[in-house]
Amino acid sequence: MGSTVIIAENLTKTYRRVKTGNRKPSALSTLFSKNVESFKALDNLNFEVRQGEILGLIGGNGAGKTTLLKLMARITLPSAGRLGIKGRLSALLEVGTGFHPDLTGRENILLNGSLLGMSRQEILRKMDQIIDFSGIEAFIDTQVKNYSSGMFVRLGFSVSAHLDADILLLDEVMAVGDAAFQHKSMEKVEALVADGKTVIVASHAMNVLRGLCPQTLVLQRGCLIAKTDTATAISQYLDTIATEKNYTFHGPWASLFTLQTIRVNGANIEDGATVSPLSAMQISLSLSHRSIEAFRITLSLYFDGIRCFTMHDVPFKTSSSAQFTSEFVIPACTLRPGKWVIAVGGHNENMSQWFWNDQCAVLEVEEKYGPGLEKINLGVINIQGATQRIEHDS
Amino acid sequence: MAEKNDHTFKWLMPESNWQWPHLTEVWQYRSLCLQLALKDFRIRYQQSLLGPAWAVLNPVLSTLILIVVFQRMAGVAIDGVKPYAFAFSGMVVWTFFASLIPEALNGMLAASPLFRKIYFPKLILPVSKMLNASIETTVSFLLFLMACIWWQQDLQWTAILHLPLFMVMALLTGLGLALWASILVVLSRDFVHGIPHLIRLGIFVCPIAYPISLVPPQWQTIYFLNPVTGLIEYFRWICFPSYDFVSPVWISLTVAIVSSISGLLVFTKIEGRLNDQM
Repeated sequence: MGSTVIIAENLTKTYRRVKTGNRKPSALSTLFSKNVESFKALDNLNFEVRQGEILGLIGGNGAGKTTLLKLMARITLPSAGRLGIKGRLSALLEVGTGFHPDLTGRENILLNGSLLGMSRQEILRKMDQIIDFSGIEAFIDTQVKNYSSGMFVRLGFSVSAHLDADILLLDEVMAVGDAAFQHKSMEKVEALVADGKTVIVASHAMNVLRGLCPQTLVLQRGCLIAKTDTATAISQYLDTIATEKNYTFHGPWASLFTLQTIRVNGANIEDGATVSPLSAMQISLSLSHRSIEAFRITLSLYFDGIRCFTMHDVPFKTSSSAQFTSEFVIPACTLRPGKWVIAVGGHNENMSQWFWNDQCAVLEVEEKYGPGLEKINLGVINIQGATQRIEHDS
Repeated sequence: MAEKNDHTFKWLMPESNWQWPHLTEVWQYRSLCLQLALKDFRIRYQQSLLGPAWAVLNPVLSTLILIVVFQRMAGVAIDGVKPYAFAFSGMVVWTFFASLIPEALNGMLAASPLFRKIYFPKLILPVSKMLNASIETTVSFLLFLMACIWWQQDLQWTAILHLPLFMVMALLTGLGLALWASILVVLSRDFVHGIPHLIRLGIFVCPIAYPISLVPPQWQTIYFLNPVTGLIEYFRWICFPSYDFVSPVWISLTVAIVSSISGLLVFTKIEGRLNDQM
């Protein structure tokens, strides 16, 4: 390991908010209004990152992952403490930032590259590499507004990845483009790492973290609770979700829906009881809502950051009562033992309106095997499909 | 453990009090300045049949309108300057500010989604708008020279030595005004609506179409506080041999320097907070 390249000392970020309801306050009112509430997005963080380190960053919703990345990317300044960065830093927080729809791909490479701090000569020198990597040579002189979202993201990632940075910040970008491009992106990141670059990956795709990062930072409600090996970090992270009741949604319908309780077989999930995989499990979600449109409630189960399956409560239906419970039954011998993360959301018929929280709670399935669930049937999910062997006489 | 004050580190700290902008960093981002100016240029003339020809056509058309209007007014020559040339010279200087300030203001608004996602020295934004406005003004200036020759207006070619000083003053004033427009629009969106009215008013408040002698003497001190007034006067004095220079140029120079220095300081002060606020 090389020398230190990132130092955080008592790093704190406080946001101030004027309580004005829906109206967006002007900067002037934030300065002078007495009616200001503040909350600590990050509270007294101390850590160091060494050169060549590939560090994971994990935490529940609102734990401060994004704020920490924004501070490192210089998008926002600390409120107290300080953060030292050595070398050029490239943040792939949102690829294609600053792309102008009316410019062609090539013109956008120049614009986006200089926005990232590259000089004109540097961009022109790397132009061919960037275009080649993006795989959209045929459309490079087409206006970006005619691109598909996949093409847009590929071009954006390609520009960012070719910035000669010493430190690279990644935020869930591994999930861009098709499988082939994802593979290519992953290879690029690995090549950068082999080059001795420092990489920080924020993700709750635990499989990605496990594959890439020897060490991971765990954040919980703005506090750094651990910097440890990734396996330990992941189990600590799951503990934070399991104990913390954080049901806040995001998305356009976030304010219309409130999740009150999640019960498994009648018991509140925060009580932390384990459930047996050998019998059917009933997950009940109690929600209140103010939606006049038809909707359905979504339940997804994640294992190791992979969305394993999704269920919906009913076909689209309006609900006249403000309070309702959606029930989902997972058949016996389906989930294999381990910690499953429950995601809850909902959407309207054309998916234009939705709300979502992919880290609501943890469902712990007991380490128990029996008829219908054999230990040797390795995997994440257990399927009881019919199997047989047909003997062919020669 | 790294040294507490290791200078190989870039230390990010809570915003301190007054600070001078990091001009070396702005210089490192000069290619962004060029790309933003190019972007504006490309977008402005896109999907139009005549394309970049508009960059020349625009000032030609506004001059034609000016001529048509002033022919009716048929004023007498002021200090030996023909009325068209008098008005056109005022317009050349005015064009710079009239195109720069709304652009700087809108540029700040248009770029605000970027502040949340990417770091770059925000000073680049008004500076790139100045680049665009300068190009536009240069075209307009060249047209003015051609028109003066066409109108057989006497020009003072030797005074061309004053042009660099004039340009520095105009750029300083432009920077100051563009920065303050950007600052105000960040502080409150009310200025998005307010500032365009000020610009519209400016065409009457500046001595573009009338000589300063028409301004009552008791108002002249206040009148000269407008930095654009001094610039227009100075420009006319440079161009026309017979033109009498009435405006005390030091007032304009002081306003230019004070507004740009205060603008730079305040802009740098609020820069770090832009992301949290816009």
